[in-house]
Amino acid sequence: MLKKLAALTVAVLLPLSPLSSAAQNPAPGPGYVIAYINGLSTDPIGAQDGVDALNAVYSAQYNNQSVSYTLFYTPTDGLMQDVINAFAQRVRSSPGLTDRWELIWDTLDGGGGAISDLAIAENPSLSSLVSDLKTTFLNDVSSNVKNVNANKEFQPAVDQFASTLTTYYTQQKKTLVVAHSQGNVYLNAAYDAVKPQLKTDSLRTVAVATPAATVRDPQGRYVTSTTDLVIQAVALALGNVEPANTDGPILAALSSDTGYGHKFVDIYMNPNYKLLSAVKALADSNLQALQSPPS
Amino acid sequence: MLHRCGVVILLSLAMFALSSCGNSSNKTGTATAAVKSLSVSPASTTILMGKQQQFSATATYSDGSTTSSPVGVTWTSSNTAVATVDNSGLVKGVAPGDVTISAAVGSVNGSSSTRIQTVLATLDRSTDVAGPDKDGNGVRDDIDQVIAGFGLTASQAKALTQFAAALQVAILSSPDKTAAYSNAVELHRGQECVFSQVRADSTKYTKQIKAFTLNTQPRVMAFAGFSHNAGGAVYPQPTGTVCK
Repeated sequence: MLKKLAALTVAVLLPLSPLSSAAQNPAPGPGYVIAYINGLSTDPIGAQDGVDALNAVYSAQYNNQSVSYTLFYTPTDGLMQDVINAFAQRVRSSPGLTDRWELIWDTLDGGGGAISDLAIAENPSLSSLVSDLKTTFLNDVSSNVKNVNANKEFQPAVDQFASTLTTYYTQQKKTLVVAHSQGNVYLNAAYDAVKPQLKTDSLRTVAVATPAATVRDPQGRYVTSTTDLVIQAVALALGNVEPANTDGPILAALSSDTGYGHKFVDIYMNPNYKLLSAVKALADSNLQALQSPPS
Repeated sequence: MLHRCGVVILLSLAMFALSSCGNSSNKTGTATAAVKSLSVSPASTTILMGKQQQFSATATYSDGSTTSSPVGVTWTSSNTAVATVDNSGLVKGVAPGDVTISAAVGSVNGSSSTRIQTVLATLDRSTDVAGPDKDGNGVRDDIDQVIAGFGLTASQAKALTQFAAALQVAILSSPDKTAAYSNAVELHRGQECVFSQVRADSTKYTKQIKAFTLNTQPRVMAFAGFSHNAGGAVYPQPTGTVCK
């Protein structure tokens, strides 16, 4: 009886584990998987927005085959905590300051919620706080990118992503992985772990706003905006970064509301900018080139 | 046919004549009954910035009779940078602040004290992570009000409520990876539900709900903990019926 209960408990709990859930979807058989790896200081909600942006472009079918979408959610970096700490410090040092913690989300999300506008309308003195938060964000980007490999959760996450890519291969899926920002560091490591085992060209990558020195596209292609101030800051600090290669929106980049021209959804996947055409052209090229894994 | 129409017209005229005899009718004011006082309703109120509210004026005449919306009433705002009012008494909040909305008939005035505030001023800022949820729907009461204030359809509001409830669960659950994973799956399901109902504007609403929900240090820290525990995992796109 106890054995039956234990087996039942395992059966109920198993779907909750990340590994098993990754294996549940997509269903085996021919078709495509488009996976997205998020970038810096992105919470699970913002990361899923990136998946939705890709889904909006490719929908459920490509070349008359099914497309399923997956989020490879990276471990959180220190940037979110840096911004939280900066806000807490400012609240402590300014007794008259309204305790408006919702303000940090405009900084971390790159705007869109217009929370800062509401708060500043109510209390104009908050504008300096908002400005300080965004400066903290930009200043701390480089150190967080530089230290990503040192994060003790880096390798387990890479192993998890590589394991999932291997599962897709065994399920005969053609897989395209789109990585944004710091997600490219994870992508490169996972790709390098999996690629030698693949007997067909069934795994391709699209690097967007990469802070890495190299990309895994067979022709060395990637998309980085000329007005991506975050990547420019990283390049200044780290030196060895793929240079910008696609014209980006100048005015949008000057606004911290777009994460300084760096956000995946608001900038790179925005239909108002030519960056989306560049990302889509690269993704299309790689989707066309993908071969099915051997049956 | 003509005969029937004539009866209808006569009956209508008779009803109009009868209705004009009451004290609360649309009185036009006469030489014998001058406006003695004017009251504005609501006498005091709060309007969210960007929202509108209809005000009304009631005149009391020297003969004791009253009428709403007296002829010749004019409306003014003491500070149009804070709130504007049109000829019909429709007040719109422009910027946070206090303002007096006045109605006048001739030299007789009435006024209302009105406060314009942003939605941020309505948020719960209690020290606990959960906050008040009197209706027990899994969403803080102030967030329920925010969603209602968006002016969306019932199905769109329901989708946002599902998302808000999933977010609330995420910050209240035990801080471990297993709980964070299943909570992130439900949060994504809520996001997809909002996307299916609201489409292009979905991220605007989800970003606002997130920011308004995570509006105190304990709530922000709880969400940061959840995000940390949800990291390093693979999340297949929710499929099938995403709305509950």
